[in-house]
Amino acid sequence: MAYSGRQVVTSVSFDVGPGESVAVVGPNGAGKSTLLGAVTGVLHPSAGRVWLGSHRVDCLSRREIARRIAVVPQGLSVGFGLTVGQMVMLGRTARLSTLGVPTRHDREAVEVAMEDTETSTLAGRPVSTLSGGEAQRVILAMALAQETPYLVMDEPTAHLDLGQQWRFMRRLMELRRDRGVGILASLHDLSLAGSSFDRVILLSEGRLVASGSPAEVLTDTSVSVAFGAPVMVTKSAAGVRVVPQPVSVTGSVEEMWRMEDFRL
Amino acid sequence: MSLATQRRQLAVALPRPSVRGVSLSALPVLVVGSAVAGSLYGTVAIPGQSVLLILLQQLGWPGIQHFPAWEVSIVWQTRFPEVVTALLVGGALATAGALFQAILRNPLADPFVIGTASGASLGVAIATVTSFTAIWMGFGAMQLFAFGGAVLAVALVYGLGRVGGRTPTVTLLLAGFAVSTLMIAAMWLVAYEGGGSQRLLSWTMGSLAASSWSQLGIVGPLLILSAGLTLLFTRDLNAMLLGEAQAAHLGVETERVKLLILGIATLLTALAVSLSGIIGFVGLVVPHVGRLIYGSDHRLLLPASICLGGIYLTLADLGARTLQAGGGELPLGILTAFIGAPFFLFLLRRSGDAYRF
Repeated sequence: MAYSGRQVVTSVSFDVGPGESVAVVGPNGAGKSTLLGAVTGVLHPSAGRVWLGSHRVDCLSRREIARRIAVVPQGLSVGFGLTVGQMVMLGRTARLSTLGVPTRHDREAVEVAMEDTETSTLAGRPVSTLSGGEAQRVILAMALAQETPYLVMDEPTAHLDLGQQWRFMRRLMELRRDRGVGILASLHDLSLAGSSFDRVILLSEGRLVASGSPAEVLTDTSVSVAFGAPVMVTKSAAGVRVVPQPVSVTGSVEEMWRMEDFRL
Repeated sequence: MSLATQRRQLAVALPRPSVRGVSLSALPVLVVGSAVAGSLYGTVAIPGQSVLLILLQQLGWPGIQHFPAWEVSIVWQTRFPEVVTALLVGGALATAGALFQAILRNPLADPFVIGTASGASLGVAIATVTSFTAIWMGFGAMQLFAFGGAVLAVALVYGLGRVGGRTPTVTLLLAGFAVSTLMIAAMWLVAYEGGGSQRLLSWTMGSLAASSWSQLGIVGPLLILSAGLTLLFTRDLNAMLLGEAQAAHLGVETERVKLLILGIATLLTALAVSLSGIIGFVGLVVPHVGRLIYGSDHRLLLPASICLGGIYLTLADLGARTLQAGGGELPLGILTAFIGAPFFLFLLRRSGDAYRF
């Protein structure tokens, strides 16, 4: 099954195949979220098409899309005392009957997803009491419980510390390898995109700047121009690393903050 | 930690419908219990045994005992219709509240905050003053005007609260408050100019005293049907707790579900208001009580809200009829607040951090 996103408005064309991982990077406001919105069918492109296998996304029902694409948002505000176990079960929404009674398979999918994301021990906790990192893992568990061939993620590592980020990425790589899950993620962390993703799409001001392997896309020039800041790109066997140039400010900081003439 | 241990912990921590199913199945028993209790007492003393036998005989139990006509009339024509109305109105308002709260993802949402009840009240006031007696498909002018007013209010609030294709909660609540205030002011203007303000005053404090079988004939089945219909939306309502965007990603046709649920909640509110006047607090608090006891899964919450709302209003009505020393009835709206508020605050304090927004 092939999956391709195409957004003529921003002149972006790309596709994500089974087991492939594609990172969308670019400065804030470059159109990353808009692109993901079009891919998941919540935004309708004024021109261009998004194909999901042989179907156009805008011709599928929400239920049909939810059985193919799981979305991991940046964060969710959850109230009403919803527990972690209940929330992960919501990942099964598109598979449940009208009365919403979970089958044995639904329960198993939820258990597996929670084990995979190390959230089993949180099952009875209200979601509103979780830390940022815990909440992000629960959101991922909910997406995994959807058992879809594709995952679309918006800044999935934003709330994770270094260790959680590493385990999270390892889990994604395993999913790609073992189940052939295709991944499309928007990222701020260019080094993560450069080291862990098959392909990178660089957007700037709603336009495609470059698309291809991390080494092709992430260069000194392309990143510096797109983000408006000088960067150093280093390439090694471990992938591409992007680090901003050290900042040097001339002039005395003390002087800058003197407030003798300040009046209220 | 071994996998087996983890699985055991998970089994403990996941909500177990069977356990909650048992306590949920106790609710219908409590509904019947409160209905009987509501029929036993009133301003006129009738022996409890007589009340029970009259009820059983009227409900088709083969009876040989004859009771004085006035006793039968009080129990079957006055008290029992009042009890049934209390069950229906309480259940309807609580269900409407639970639906509004879920769809708008707002713990403060209830039929009154959103303006539905105020719109329905304006409709009822107009129907009362104009003594308009149109009947359409068996519905009286009262119900038709109430529904019209409620729909008008919801459309106004929703239209005003909608900004750029979205419905931000704060905007919606402010719009609801403004429209609600306007509708209530218009209601009093209509009543004052039309000379019905005295009648309307007692009505705004809520009363079930005028309940009768003829009134229930149409509205009753419609209320039961609407409340039952909501049980088909539990799956979608659960997903809506994560917000419209995520619910759509989980496979919910959010716009359609929202419109249908708002329609049903509006109908429930309008019918309840046309029967009993303005009874506050039930729609706001009973769903929260339901959540604090049964959690936020709508498969449990909606049936629980229907039952708890009915029980609560029946008992409050019983209190209103019997607590007033020297006969006479307390306005029902006062009782619902005095019983409900402390109980709600007790549950809220006890649950602490878990029930945070």
